[in-house]
Amino acid sequence: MLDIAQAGDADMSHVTGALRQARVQLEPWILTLIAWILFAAVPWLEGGYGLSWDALNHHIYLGWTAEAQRFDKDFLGAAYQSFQFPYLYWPVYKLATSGWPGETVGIVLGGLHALVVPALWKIANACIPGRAVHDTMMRTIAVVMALMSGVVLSLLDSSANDLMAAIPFVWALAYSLDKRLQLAGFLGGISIAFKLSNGPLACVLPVLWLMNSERPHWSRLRDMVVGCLWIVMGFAVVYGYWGLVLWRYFGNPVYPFYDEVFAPLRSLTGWSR
Amino acid sequence: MIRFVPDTLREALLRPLAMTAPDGGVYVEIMAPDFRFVFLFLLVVAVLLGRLRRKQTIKIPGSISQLLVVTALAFVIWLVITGNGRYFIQFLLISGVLCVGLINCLPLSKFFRASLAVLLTSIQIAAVMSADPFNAWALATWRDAPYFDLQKPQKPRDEAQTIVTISTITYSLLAPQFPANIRWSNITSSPPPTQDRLESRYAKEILANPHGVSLFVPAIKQLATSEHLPGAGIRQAINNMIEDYGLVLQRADACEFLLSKGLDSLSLRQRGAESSAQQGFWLCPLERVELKSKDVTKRKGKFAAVFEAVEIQCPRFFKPDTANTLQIQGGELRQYGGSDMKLYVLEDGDVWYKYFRAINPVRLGSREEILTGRAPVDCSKILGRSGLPWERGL
Repeated sequence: MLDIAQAGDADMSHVTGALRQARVQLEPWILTLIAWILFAAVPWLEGGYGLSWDALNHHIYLGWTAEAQRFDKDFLGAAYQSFQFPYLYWPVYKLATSGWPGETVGIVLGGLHALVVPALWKIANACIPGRAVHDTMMRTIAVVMALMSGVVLSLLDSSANDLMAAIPFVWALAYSLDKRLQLAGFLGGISIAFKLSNGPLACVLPVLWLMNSERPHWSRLRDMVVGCLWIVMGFAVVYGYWGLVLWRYFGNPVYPFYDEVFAPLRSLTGWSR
Repeated sequence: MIRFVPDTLREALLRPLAMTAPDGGVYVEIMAPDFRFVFLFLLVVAVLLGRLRRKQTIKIPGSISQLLVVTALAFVIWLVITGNGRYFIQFLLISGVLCVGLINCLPLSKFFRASLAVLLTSIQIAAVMSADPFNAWALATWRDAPYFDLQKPQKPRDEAQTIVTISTITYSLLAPQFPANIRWSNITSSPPPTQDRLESRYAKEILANPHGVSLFVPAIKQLATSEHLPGAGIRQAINNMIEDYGLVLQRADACEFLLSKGLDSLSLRQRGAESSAQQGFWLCPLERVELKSKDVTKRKGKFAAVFEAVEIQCPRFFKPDTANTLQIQGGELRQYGGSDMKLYVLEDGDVWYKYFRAINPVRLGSREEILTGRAPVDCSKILGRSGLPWERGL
């Protein structure tokens, strides 16, 4: 009888463990789905999509130039913001010019913004790694607390790309904690391509890699260098084409920034316009 | 741009506290009170004290301590570079995860930890919602298609012409509604074609378009004729802005008034429901005139010495060689875009500055006092900027 009871307990414990595992695996997807629904609801509840100063000035125009650059036609069409990396504005431009009502564009843009949620959950899971119901609850609160920023929420009914540009960076942090440096570096590079202001902040990624490694010192340094090379690669792959366009027209791939830095390169390559 | 960069070490150290204030312009343009960095600081102290008392029995996952270090490092980098919350979103997000992660490390019962997490999250939610983050940036609202309504031009125009804009907001969101061959330029952002710069050459090239040049500008009802076309006063003001580019607006009757419900919605948000409809844009063909280089006195203004005296004393806010001199009624003005500052030297002898967040301008002294150094500029007390949010004044 005792053996049967023990065997039954073992089976139950196995089933409970499997259910617990399934719950943990489902957590990020459920949170992402809920976030998507809530994010999509914001413009609908607000009765439309907000057009900010920046939207009137350059967001839609940049989305337009993402389809086909216009430096051969326009000059400062959207003032000096015309030179920003334009591709993240393409979705909002396309929705706007395709005749979507503003209340419904959150379905698409909210979905893009919700891509940050699984990365946040991944980080929460690294900080609160337990499998008990309590841990699930704490991770959920952590994700909610993460999103509870006036800045972040204000972007859910705005065409600004700041949240979208930060998403690869958050994923880079998540994968850094997983010790997947190459992927983390590549995503870090993508986030810099999306927004150059992410560049200085990306300096913390190698520091995180150094701290997070359990390998000998020289191997850590080597990993760090490899990770940095992946940052460069991620940046080059995503920013490369736009950088070339700016180089072609202005002799500076990050025009109008650091123009004097590229002056010697222009002389060296015989660039002229 | 130093809009959100702290001016002093004290402001930098107290930025987490400043971020809790329900004020705009603290770390982002909108009101976005955030308690999480203060919570983080208090939780780190609590965890460290708990470790001291319990002699290392509190285990902090490596992920939390590593993320704490990089967040602190990123915070410093952020304050040095921009201090603008829109460029720090990744760590605004991470701070929330870290708060709850640290709570989970506290030597308390599960129930207490969960309750504390819910309490702090509730405080943060209440703070964020008290400032209503939604629609915070909107000047206009995109409801139904089209996203920004504009009446189509009726007069026949060359579809390969150049259209120049001169307003601070370029309204380039309307460009995709025009024929794709039209060439766009916010010409007042560009240096005049007479200068020896790459940008000037591009400006010269686009303005020399043989298909003609037109102006696209928001109409000002109060300065319009009875036919809604630009009156003589506004034509003169426009010509003052475009003369350096070899352009002139001569005939109002060649202009076209284009109704815009999009501009209506913008006007309604700004002035309230009583604002009447019938807002729109003027589309006016421009004529070319001979390009003239302004002489130095005209470019720098007749009060250049006064401007320079202030710039030398306070280069952080009045950075030399970054502002053009504008002629205004009763004096001259320099706008320092990098620091959101305006400096006025008036014909009546007074010198004033105005920071963009302040309601009131501040008198610095008379022209003579500034030039002789008898009225030193206190760069550490800029009305509307210096100090913590509750110290800045208006």
